[in-house]
Order: sequence, then C-alpha cells, then structure tokens
Amino acid sequence: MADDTLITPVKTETLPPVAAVYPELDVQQKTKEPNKFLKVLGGVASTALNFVAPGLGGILGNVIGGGGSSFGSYSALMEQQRQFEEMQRYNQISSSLQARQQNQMMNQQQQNSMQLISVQHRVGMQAQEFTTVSNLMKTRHDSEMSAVNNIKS
Amino acid sequence: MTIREISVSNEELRVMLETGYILREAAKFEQAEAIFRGVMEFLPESDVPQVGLGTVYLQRGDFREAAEICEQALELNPDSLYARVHYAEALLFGRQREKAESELKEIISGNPDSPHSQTAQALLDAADLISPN
Repeated sequence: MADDTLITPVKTETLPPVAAVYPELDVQQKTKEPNKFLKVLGGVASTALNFVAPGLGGILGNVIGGGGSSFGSYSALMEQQRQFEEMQRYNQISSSLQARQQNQMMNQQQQNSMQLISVQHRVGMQAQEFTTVSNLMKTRHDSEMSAVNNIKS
Repeated sequence: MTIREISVSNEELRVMLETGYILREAAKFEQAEAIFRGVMEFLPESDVPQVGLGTVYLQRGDFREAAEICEQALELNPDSLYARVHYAEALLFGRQREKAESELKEIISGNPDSPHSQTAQALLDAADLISPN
C-alpha cells in the first residue's frame, strides 16, 4: 500500500541548477557583449538626441548600444548632462568667435568701400574741375583770337 | 621819327598781339606787357591791346590793376564785349563775385552767339572754383 503510487507521491530528487547542467549558457549570459554596430549606432543616436533632449539621448543611446544597465542611473545622467552642457559652451564660444570675426571682416569691408567711394568722389571732382578750367581756357583763347582778328588800324 | 610814323600792317599787329598772348601764357609778363604797350602805341583807339595788357595783370594776380585797365579799355570802346568780359573776370578773381556774375549774365543775355559770351559762360561755370562763397 505504501508503494501505491496513487497515494504516496513519487519521491523526486532536487534538480541541479541550470548553470550546472548547461554551463555554456550561463557563461554566455554573463559575458554577453553588445553588437559593435549597435555600439556605434548607440553613440551616434546618443549625440544626436542630446541636442534635442539633453540626457535622454544618452539613455536611449545606451539602450541601443547594449548598455541598458545605465538606464535609471542618476550619476550617468548627470555626467551626460555635464558633457552636453560643456558641448553647448564650446558651441557658444565658437559661435561668438565666428560672429566677431564676421563683424571685423564686415567693418573692414565697409571701411574699404568708404575709402573707395571717397577716392572716386575726389577723382570725379578733379575731372570736373579740369574740364571747367580747360573749357575756360579754350573759350578765352577763342575770344582773344576773335578780338585780334577784328582789329583795324 | 615817332612810332606813329612807322608803317605796320594789320597782319603784323595781329602777330604782335598773338606774341603778347603767348608770352603771357609762358609767364613772361614783362615781355608781354612791353608788347601790349607797344601795340597800344600803334592802335591808340583800339581796346584790344589794352585788354591784352589787363589780362597780363590778371595773370600776375594783380586783379585791381587788371580791372582798372579793362575799365579804361571800356572808356575807349564802351561796346567792347571783350573788355567787359575781362573786366568781369578781374572782378571775379578780385572776390567781387556778385558784381562779376551780374556783368557776365548781362553779356550773355545781350549777345548769346558772341565768342565773348561763351567765355562769360565758362567764367560763370568756373565761378565756384575761382571765387568760392
């Protein structure tokens, strides 16, 4: 009766851990590295999204790149935020330098244009004066010749 | 023998006058003056050598003397546009712009086709350069 399997449940042995049975599976789970392509893609996405949404880009980039464990990590977020802000500072400095250079160039160009206009004006004035004086000399000569030709002794 | 006894043709007088103008333009004022004064002896009734002498003074920068000589030429020949133009020119250079412009405009309006009117117009055009306000 005691052997009646319907009354007495079958004595079972404790199963060994899965890792003991399939050790190669365990190793694979522990050392699983993200795909290289995904790593690169994650980096790119992280940078691009950081411009749009600071912090979120880094998180999403990590997820894509296989670093999902950083999701929710406050310190990583802060680090990304810091990097983003630094990048923004660099961008601002670069933009202001570019703007200053452009201003200097424009000022220089404006000065050159003003000088050119001034020279053109002076040349124009001198040409006009020359024409006026030349015309006066010519008409005076004609007038004198006319007087000389009409003399009567 | 006086100078009036010397026979000089009109053509020779013209050459002499032209020589006077050339000497004046070459800034040889003394020689130019001598020429014009010499021709004045041959042509005492003509305003032309006298105005020529006036222009020598004008070119020298003695505008007052130039104006006086031209006025004397006008006394000889009151209708001489040549004398009037150079009288006005002397006034213009002598900083009497208003009087000069009035005289020049009168010459132009009375004789628009005369070569002297063209000189008058050229002087008006050059008034800003000659006598700026």
